[in-house]
This record gives sequence, structure tokens and C-alpha cells, in this order.
Amino acid sequence: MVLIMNVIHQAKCALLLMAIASIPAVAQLAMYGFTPPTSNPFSITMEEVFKRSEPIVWVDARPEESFKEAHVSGALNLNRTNWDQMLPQFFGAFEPGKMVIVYCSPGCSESEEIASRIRNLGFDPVLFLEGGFESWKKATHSP
Amino acid sequence: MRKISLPNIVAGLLSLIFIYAGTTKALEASSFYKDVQMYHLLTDGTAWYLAHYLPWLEIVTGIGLIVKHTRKSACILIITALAVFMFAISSAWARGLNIECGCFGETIDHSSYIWVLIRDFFMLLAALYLFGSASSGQSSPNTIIKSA
Repeated sequence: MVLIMNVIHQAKCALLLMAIASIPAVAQLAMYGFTPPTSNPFSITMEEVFKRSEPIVWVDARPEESFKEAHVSGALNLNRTNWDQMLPQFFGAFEPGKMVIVYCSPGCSESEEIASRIRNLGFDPVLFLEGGFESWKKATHSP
Repeated sequence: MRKISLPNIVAGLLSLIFIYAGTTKALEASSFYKDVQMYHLLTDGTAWYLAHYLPWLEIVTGIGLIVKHTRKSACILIITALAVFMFAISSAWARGLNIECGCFGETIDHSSYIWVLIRDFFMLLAALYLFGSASSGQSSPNTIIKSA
């Protein structure tokens, strides 16, 4: 009897701790929203890139100076400024079965815009990289 | 009367780990949400709620460990949570996923699966020890210092 009472008491205490934890959690959800943010269907993370098996055409949408400093191996520098000039090179690099991933600097919008422009030309799949070039560096230079 | 005994030291250390882990995750809940999603075990909605609830549960149970009256219940919650973490990590490992465990929020944790499992296993042992010592209700033979 004492054992049962003890178990009930512990269960009550555990539920109390869980209830206390739910107070700040609900407050935080009220701040950030009760529904998860919808992710852009045309975005991709580096973790997802590693899981994909198809060959990738990397498109660097950053300015030429940043591209010259460092870029993903084999990437093509295609941005708003050199769009008309570099587009033929992109046509040459793309083959059916390849996936196009566009990246820029973290927090920028160029990759989304360039990916959208390429998609409008009829290419598919064309995605933009979440976290930009930094996420690629972080993922590929991890110990 | 407060005792500096082995159970109290273990409770203090485990409490610090859980409060630290909970705080780092609570401060970056959106990032922790992505970590939870990467396990591919839950729906987006469930992962979102869990990402906001779990950090606070860790903080509250961490505090619960250092309060005598709630220590045993906190141990039950910690043992359950660690068992679930270990299952999730083993499952990710078995499915060949290459993910961060998300154990300490945004803190870069490139630990291998085996190291994370070993770390969780030792914390599980510590929680079981605390539960056992709290259940016995006897004064610990390992008392080092007593102060009034």
C-alpha cells in the first residue's frame, strides 16, 4: 500500500514538473507561432544535398569578386550582373538528370532569384541552398 | 541540514548538464526544430511543439534534481528522456543519417553517434544511481562534509 502511494506521489510530482515546463514552452510558442514555419519547396539544406545522389551543377550567384575569392569546386558564376553573358556557359554545363543548386552569401536573396530565373527557362530541378556558401563551407570542412 | 554527499554531487553535475543543454536549445528553438526534423521520426507539427517543450522540460527537471522533494520524479523524467534520446540517435545511426544530435542546441557538436550514446549511457547510469539513492531513503555512507 505504501509502495502504491509512493508511486502515485512520484507520478504526480513528475506530472507537476511537466506542467511547469509547459508554461514557458507555451509562452515561447505564442511568440513564435503555434504552427511550424513552412519551408520553401525550392530550398535545400546541405544535409539534404549529401543524401541526394544525382550530379549537381553548382551556380554561384554572388558577385564576381566573392566568387574569385572562393567558391564550390566546379561552380559557375551566374548572377544578376553577368546573367546574359554567362547564360550560354550554364546551358553547356546542364544535362538532363543533373540537379541545379544556386547559392549566394548567407541571408542574401540572389540565389532564390537566380534559381527562379533558371526554372522559368524550363530547367528542373533548380533549388537554392539554405545558409548559402557558408553552409557549404561548414558542411564540407567539418572534422 | 545540507549534506555534501555523492548523490548530491552527482545530482548537481547532472542538473548543470540538463540546465545548460535546455538553455542552449531554448535560446535557439528554431534551430533545434531543424535538428529534430532531421531525425525524420516526427511530423513537422509535432517536431515544432517538441522543439519548444523539450528544452524547458530539461531546465525544469535539472532544477528538480537539486530539490530534495522532486529529485526522484526528476530522475524518472530524465531516465525516460535519455532512453528516448538514445533510441532516436540509434535509429538515425541505423538509417545511415548524417546529422547533428542537437543535444546542446547551436553549440557545434560533431560528436560521433557512438560517443553521444556513451555520453547518454553514463548520464542514464547517473540518473539510475540517483533514483536508487533517493528510493533507499537512507543517509549516504559517502558523506564527505556535513554542515548545519
